[in-house]
Amino acid sequence: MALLSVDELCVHYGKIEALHDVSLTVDEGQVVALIGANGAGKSSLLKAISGIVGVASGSIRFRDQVLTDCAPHEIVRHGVVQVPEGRRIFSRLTVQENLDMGAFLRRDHAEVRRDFERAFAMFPRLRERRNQVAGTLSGGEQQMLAMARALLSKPQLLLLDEPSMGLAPILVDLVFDSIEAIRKDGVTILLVEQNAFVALQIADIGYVLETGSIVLRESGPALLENDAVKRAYLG
Amino acid sequence: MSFEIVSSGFQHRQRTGTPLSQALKTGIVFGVLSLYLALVGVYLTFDKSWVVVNVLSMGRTLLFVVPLLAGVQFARLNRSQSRAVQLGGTLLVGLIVGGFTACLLPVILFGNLRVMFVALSSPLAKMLALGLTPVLGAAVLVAGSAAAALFGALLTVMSPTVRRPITVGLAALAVVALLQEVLQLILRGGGAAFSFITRGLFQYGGLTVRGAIIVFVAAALVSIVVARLRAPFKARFAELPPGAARFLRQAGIVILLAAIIFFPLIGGSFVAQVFLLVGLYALMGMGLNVEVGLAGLLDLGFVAYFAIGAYTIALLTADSPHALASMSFWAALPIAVLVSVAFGFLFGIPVLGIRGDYLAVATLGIGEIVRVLVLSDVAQPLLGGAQGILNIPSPAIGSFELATPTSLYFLTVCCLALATYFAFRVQDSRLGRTWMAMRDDEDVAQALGINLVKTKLLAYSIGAAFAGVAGAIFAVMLKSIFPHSFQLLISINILALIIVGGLGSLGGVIVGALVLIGLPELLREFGEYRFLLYGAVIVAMMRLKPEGLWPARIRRRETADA
Ligand SMILES: Nc1ncnc2c1ncn2[C@@H]1O[C@H](COP(=O)(O)OP(=O)(O)OP(=O)(O)O)[C@@H](O)[C@H]1O
Ligand SMILES: [Mg+2]
Repeated sequence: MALLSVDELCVHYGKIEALHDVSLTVDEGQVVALIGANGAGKSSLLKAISGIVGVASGSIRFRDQVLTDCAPHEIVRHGVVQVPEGRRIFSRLTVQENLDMGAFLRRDHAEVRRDFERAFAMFPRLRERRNQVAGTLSGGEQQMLAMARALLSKPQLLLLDEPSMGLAPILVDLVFDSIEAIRKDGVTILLVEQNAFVALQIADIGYVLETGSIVLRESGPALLENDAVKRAYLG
Repeated sequence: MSFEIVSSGFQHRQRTGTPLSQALKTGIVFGVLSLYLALVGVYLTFDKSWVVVNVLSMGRTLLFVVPLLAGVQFARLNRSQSRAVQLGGTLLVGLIVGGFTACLLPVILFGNLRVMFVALSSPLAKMLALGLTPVLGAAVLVAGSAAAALFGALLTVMSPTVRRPITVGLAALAVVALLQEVLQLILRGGGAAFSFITRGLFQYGGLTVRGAIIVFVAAALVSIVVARLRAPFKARFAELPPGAARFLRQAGIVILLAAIIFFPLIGGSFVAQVFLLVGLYALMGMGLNVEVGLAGLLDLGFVAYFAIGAYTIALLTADSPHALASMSFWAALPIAVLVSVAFGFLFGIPVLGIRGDYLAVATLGIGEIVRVLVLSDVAQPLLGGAQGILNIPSPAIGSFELATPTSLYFLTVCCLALATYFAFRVQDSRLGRTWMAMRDDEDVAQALGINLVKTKLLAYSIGAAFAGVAGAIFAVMLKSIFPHSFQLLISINILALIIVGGLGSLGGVIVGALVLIGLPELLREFGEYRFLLYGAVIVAMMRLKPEGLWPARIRRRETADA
């Protein structure tokens, strides 16, 4: 059974229809990539899954739970955590305090401590800067912090919205290495990317979203070879 | 969040230009400033107060302080120029400033602009002419301005060892002159020991000549002694073991705090009244600080909770037909707090989904709705309408009534201490952290599992509790309450004081209340003009110390790291 299944989902902003009958499944342990042009509705889909925007029709199911009408904080409790686009860290808290907020809901303190160590091992830069105010971190460090913070909430499904946005190629590699490492730790990942080339390289399954509808679903390598995808997204 | 006090990275470019153009510019800027002060009536108003009784009025002093500051400014910009250039430039600056001011004389005497500027009256002309004939007066004014500018420039270029005693002496003189009414009140209240000082320095209306000299010389001497002792003292302090140094520092803070807290005891009832007001505002500041400083919820309707606390006390304790019960203050106080909390919760609900600037406007609406409702005919039978509720009894401990400002002040201090402790604990708690996360980014906080509804409503409720306590004390302070006591201006004052003190900082709330509420009260003598000080403090603060007088820990760190 799929870990996450989205069925005929529609999302509206007033009269604008951002998503139209979108269906998508993510199996446990997979990395699923969602690619599409600006304004295709990728972020809207992630926000609908996290409960940040309301759903007009359709359903979202996680394991045997229906998430469609849950409040955002309840969805986090179920193990679905989003790293929103644009490095949204708590800019006036320190790195450490940001990470603490990630572990906000957890009561298993011993394991939290172990997860802190894991996060610091994955992003050693954050350990060096744990007492720095997060707003003064570099863009790349902020992205790492946002990901580490999400990991500390011990997600089963991690929703990543454009983690490579605005990063230098070397940092993009670092971020994607860490995504692979996160997957190895047993976390399932739904990844939204403009940078289709890198995303599809690590993806088991890729979806292509165009103006609110899914137009293609293939394995990652197959999409990389697909002529239409090559023309539109791989330049 | 869109409501941010941004410390601007905007820096003035190094001024360039020839000394001549700078002299012209400085002269014109300060000349216009002087014109402005004359036109809005500052000179004339302050002419009624004395620096030295019957010798030097504050208005006249101010008349020459403006060119003095112009001289300081010019000398600062031209430190590296030759003496001759400095001298000539400064004289030019002073002449321009004096000239601008003197221009008003013919305007008043021959023109008729009183329709536009009420202040342009013959008393102003008499004052500007320094009591002489217009022509002679104008000449003396211009020459005096040049001399003042020269003095300012001289102060700027002279060695600090000489300058410091002079400026400290003058500053002390200014402070004593401004606060003379309060000082005399305090000294009179202090009995025989102080009456000796009072007679030595003051007469009715201000300092005597002898008093002015004594104040100046004493302050200058103190400054010299302090300057001498400072270095050796610092060296000794540095040699102390760290434990002892920390103990000394903490002891110093405790003594200072105790001195401030117990000051109204020697200051008498006027000072106690002022401090009581400061305490009440600080109490409300603690509450608003939870909402704005920690949770980032900009609330302009905060006065509503203050009113609710006050009206609850009135309804439960007053000896009036409107009263619902006749409880004691102590029984009613917890109820007042609970009612405020309930309304904080209730008023929070409609504004849950509103952010930033819009939230400010929405909460402003709520505050006004409360006031208008209290005033309305509908609520008249219950709340007494514009006539308010009278005969609120003072709280009593046994047979001792807390009726004087001093006793109510100590009640406020106790509440404030409790409130500060509570705010301190909650700030470092999990809840406090949650508020700060929500302040920085609501969406992400939500995406990490924070229940925004609960977190926001808790902030509104807890903030309201503090205001409820302040309102309760306010009611027994006035012994009667009226809707017009709960104006929007109070909300704005509280917001201003927590910003000036340092958003999110508990020490800042108290410092802000002392500066923005205490100082204007002490300067009551100057009527509405004391708000000039209020405005000037806020503008100066935002320019010079945007993070506040006592910045919150996190802001301090930010500036240190940036
Ligand atoms: N809050 C909103 N109100 C109105 N319209 C919105 C809102 N959020 C998104 N939209 C619209 O919905 C559409 C999809 O937006 P979305 O943010 O999901 O795109 P995206 O695929 O993530 O784009 P990008 O790659 O640029 O991030 C766009 O046309 C956008 O203008
Ligand atoms: Mg997007």
